Amino acid sequence: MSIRNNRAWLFVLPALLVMALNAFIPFITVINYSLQDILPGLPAIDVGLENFQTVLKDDLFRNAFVRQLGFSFLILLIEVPLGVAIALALPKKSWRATVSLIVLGLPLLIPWNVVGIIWRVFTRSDLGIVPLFFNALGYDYNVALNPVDAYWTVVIMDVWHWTPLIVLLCYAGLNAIPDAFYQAAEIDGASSWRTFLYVTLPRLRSVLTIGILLRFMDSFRIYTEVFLLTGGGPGTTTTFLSDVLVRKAVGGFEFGYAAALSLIYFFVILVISYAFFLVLTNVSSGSRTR
Amino acid sequence: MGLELKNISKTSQGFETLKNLDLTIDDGSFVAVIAPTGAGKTTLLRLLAGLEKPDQGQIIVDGQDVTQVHVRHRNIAMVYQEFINYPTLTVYDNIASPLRVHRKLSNKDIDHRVRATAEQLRISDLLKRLPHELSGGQQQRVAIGRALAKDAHLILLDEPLGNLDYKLREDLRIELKNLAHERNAIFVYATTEPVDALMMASHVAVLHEGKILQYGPMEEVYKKPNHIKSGEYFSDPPMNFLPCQVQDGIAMIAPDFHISLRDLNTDLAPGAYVLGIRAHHIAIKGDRLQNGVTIEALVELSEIVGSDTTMHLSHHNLKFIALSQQFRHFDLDENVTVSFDPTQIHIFNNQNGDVVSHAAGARHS
Amino acid sequence: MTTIELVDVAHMYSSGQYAVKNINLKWEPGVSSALLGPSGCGKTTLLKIISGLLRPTHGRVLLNGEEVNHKTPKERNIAQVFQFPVVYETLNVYDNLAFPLRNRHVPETVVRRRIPEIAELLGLTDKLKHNSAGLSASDKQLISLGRGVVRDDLAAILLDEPLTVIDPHQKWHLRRRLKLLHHRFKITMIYVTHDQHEALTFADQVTVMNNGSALQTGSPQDLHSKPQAPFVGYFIGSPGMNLFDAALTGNQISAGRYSLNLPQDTAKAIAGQSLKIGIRPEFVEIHAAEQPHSIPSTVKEIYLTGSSKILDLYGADLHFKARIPDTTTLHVGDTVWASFARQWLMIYADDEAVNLPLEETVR
Repeated sequence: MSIRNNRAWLFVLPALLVMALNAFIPFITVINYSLQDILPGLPAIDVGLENFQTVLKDDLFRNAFVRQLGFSFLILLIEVPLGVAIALALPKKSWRATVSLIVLGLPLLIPWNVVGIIWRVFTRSDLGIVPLFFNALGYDYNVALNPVDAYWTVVIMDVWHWTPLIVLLCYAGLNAIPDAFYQAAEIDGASSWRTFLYVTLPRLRSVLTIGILLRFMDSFRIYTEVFLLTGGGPGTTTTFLSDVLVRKAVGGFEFGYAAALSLIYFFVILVISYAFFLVLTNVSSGSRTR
Repeated sequence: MGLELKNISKTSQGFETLKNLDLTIDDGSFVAVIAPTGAGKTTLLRLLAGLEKPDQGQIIVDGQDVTQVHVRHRNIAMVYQEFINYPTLTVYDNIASPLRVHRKLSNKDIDHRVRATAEQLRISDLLKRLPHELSGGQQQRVAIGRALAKDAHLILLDEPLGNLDYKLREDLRIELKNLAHERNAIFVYATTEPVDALMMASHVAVLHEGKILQYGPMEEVYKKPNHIKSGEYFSDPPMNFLPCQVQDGIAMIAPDFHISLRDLNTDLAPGAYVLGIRAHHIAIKGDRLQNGVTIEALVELSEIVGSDTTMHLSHHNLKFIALSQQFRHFDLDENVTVSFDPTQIHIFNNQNGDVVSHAAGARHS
Repeated sequence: MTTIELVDVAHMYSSGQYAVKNINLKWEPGVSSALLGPSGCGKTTLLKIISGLLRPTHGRVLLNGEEVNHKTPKERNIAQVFQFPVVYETLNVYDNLAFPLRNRHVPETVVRRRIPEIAELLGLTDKLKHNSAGLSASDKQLISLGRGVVRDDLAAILLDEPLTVIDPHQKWHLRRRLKLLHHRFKITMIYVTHDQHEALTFADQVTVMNNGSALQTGSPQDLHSKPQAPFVGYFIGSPGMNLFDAALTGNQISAGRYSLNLPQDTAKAIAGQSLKIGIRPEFVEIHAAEQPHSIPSTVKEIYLTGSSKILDLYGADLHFKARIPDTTTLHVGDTVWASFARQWLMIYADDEAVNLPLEETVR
């Protein structure tokens, strides 16, 4: 279609300006910082890729990176199947379904820092219900001192917070599957498991792709909740990549390092997300969407 | 008055849909544009509406060049295949909407016009309903009502009956014809179904490879197709085309299958041609015509269409379709005798598809 | 071989409305049959009741004499082909066809023999290894059909408007396949559609439905020549039957200025009922000159159908249509003489056909 006039650009201009201020300019700044050695008050020195090398050789970074990868994949491994299972268990399109969805969706509405605080209260040795529960079972639960307790509490907290997103996406996806497919599977004599495998799962592919991409990208950048709950401890058990980044940038004034780390961070998320995307949308190559 | 398309070309999605297309339509005509799916009928309608601009060429309405005029300023109305109505407006408001936008009509006049239109389309008792409460046929009537109430000079219809049950289609064809009859507007109706043109149109335009292959009064285009494609598109069942060798006034289609061409006026030079004959000019034993050329054929499938029987037949390698105007029953792969009416044969050039000789029968009506 | 029977079947919605009522139908083993009717007539509901996807609120569904209301489609051994193609997109054509067998733990040796056989009949042999998701709608429907036919314990195949999304040019290929398959396997096939073309082409036995009732069951020929209800006359044939509201005076039934004498007992039987006279356009005979018992009529409009012409006529205070060969030359405004072929005339009392020998006079 040919463009009749350029009036449309005027509508887009304000948004472009905002984006320029909030995104483009800071992004260019970070690239600059990553290639320089900066101390406040002194002129910047160009150091080429030295900052990147420092980051990649730093043990703190490496450990946090591996820890972060492990965490994200663990999250996906738990949240996706759990979300699908809950969505399958929900009643279809009745008032009961609406109520269930609202209740399940509540954790998504909570500001992330409040989530962290809620869980801190849950797990306080003196007040929390979680220690109370475990102590009754004979286990000495301590989120501040015990690495295992801390790590798994962070995982459970994220599951509690974000699984509803998968549930909501899958619920919508399931409702889009026409009854005829289930009827056909029933007529073909398929068991519930085989029906799930050959009817439900293939047809949930697009919503699951969205869900997996979103959860991966967000969990890879997790910061607020963890910071408030454990502060990264005990030791470095729950020190993820974003924590390292903040410490270097804000606490240590190591702008060069932090900028380089930011770019590496960005690049990793981009690559892994794209890899996920390719795999998930190519699962049945040559298929037409209906 | 009238509508003229001059040298129109349009490329969409890298494909040259319309090429140097010319067409002149008089007021009061009901023009059916016949072509298979994807041939460019919708593009043509959109150009007429002003929703798209041609890459080249002019559109002239009432002597004025409207090629660059935006659709909002053209006096047109359009009906689509998917029943499109304003979902939040009642039937009354739907029909009234074009009247409220454009004209400075008083509410009383609008009311009068809406009710008259609803009466004509037999939807007077549905005026307070919303579109989603209506059946498909009723929704399409509302869409047609909205187009007609506007009293536009040019009314465009893009396969409006395509999504309806066949009985509804029958009913609406007759209604549309009557509605068009009363107006001086130009109706341009795009369709793949020949029966739409046969029942409603005063003129037919056959669209093929971006150009108007043939345009003229409906009966003339039907009886005297000027090209193989005209015969093919404007026939239901499709016209049968059989390659043949012509020598000494006889067309030889197969060693055991000759048809005399003495009924044709033209003397044909010997050579290879394509013979065209419509399905209902091939009779099956039991039908009226018996003095044609007979051969044996195998029934591949016999189908009931309306009140007729269509038979897909084969004679060795030749495949063709015959139509019998009764209910007949044949088993799969049954042998039958068929008879070809020699006065209804059209001869076409086998290189470019142009007609070489019209059927003798065509000249007698 | 299974006999399917519906006895006094009715299905009521929670709103109190009936989707179908008074259904008494029987399908002999191996019959090809169709449920034909406009949208909303209840044919799809009936199909679901037969297959087991819906349990009727009243009546009994019998398979080989045994009541199966409580049985699922799987238990009834009924296969269904839906309006839009259903294939398992992550499986190729071979595995799709094998799916029903593998679910029932049929040995692979049997599967390996049967699938190529079925694929051959469907014309899918060279596509067996293809992924099913990328195929045309036509091929996908063939796969759906194949999954039903591949089983040897099949009671019936039900088809719910299976050609809806098929490209018009492909439809006749599928119709031919369906007929071939039916011919080969002699399985009971019940085909639901609103298109009389499909129904009459495919089925030996057609049931016409409207507003939840089954109006008539018979061969395409019977439905055409002796429609037992006005709606059947209207729905079958293009154009539909001419129907006139009629009134009874003594022994004479009349519509407009056309009347017939009826035998006394027939007249008595239909007294007080709402009456209609019907005659198909193809059975209205047109003559250039007056004939005994013919009506002088004016040609109001002429429509072409290609193979014939339809005349819109007005005579004896009646509007009716007649079908004449396309070679006849007539013009709007001409006067012709129309007669209603006696043996094809139908009389309806309260929308049910009345048996009649008769004499007619025109006033």
